[in-house]
Amino acid sequence: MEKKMKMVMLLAAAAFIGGIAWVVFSVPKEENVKEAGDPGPRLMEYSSNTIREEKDGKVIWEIYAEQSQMNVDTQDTVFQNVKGKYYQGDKLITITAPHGVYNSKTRNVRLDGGAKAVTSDNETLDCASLEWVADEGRLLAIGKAKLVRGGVTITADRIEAADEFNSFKAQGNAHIVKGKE
Amino acid sequence: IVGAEPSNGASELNGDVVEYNAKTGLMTADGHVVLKHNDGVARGSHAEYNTKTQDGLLTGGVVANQGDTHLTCDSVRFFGGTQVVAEGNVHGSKGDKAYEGPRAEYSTDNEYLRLPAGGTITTADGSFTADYMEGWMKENHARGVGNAYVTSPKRNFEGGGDEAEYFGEESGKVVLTGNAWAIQDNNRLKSQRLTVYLDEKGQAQTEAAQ
Repeated sequence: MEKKMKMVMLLAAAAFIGGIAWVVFSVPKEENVKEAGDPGPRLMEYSSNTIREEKDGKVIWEIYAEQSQMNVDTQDTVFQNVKGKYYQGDKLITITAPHGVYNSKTRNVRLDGGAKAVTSDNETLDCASLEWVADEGRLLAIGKAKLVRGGVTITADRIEAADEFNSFKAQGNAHIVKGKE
Repeated sequence: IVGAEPSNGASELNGDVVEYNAKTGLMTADGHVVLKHNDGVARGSHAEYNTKTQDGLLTGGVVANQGDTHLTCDSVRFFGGTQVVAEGNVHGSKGDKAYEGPRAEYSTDNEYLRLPAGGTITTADGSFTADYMEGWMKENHARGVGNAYVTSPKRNFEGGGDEAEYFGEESGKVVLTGNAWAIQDNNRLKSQRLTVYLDEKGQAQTEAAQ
């Protein structure tokens, strides 16, 4: 019986080692992948995960997602059910969105599927998608964008927030109302 | 441009591109600009409006309407919500009165109008032109200085002088002073001071001051 057990373990070990070898040493070439049918990107799945971006030791933004998949090759990350925190001077902007994407090359973040942002001063910004353009430090609300702030309501196809969320540029059917609405 | 009607007291600014700085209160708009305040609507191609001071500027083929007040000009500035300065091809009207000239300054609170670079004020009684004009629209009163000229076609009357002052509420009285002259039908008058009544009966009664 013992001999048989040893034989089974030897076969299992061989298969396991063989498997690792396959993963490490035989990275599928582009062509092979195409011919043999694309196995799809290699993804790392996370639950309840938080990623953040810092600059000079200060947190710029922080994203918590119930589910996220990071593409091992591109390092891009896709989020589901996102809660983001975005720091602009002494103002904190909390953003929720059903979906989001982090592009590791540009370090841009897009939260879409209907993003809703609320600031620590109770200002609100609703839009189809909210984009953080990292290298330009711009926050773009795109698609039926609506900002409500201190008695001023801005609606437009697109609203860009800058200067620590104090100045706004609305483009496309841009419309500002100051006072009761 | 899609926009909800603002309720009373609200200012609304529409355009292709609109910018707003919450610190300074300044709004700017470019392209198909529509500025609305209470029941007033003004259109142009570029606008600036400060929500803190209520100062504003609108340029580019301005067309503005509020109740029975209408204005077209090249550009218009608003100061504190009551002072309006319109410049360039200014054509304005309020009720049955109208004015035109290169520049018009108007106060909405007392309905006082000034045409510092001259122009013409037209009322139901006739038109008044001079190098400098001012008008108290509420009192139907106007004054012109320098090459003053008055014409009332329906009364077949014209006159002029260095100055002309019109009192609409006093039977359409016009006082012409300095090299004053007046013509109605075949009557001609000249004097240093002429008082003319463009009254309802269409008769210009003239009192020549000695």
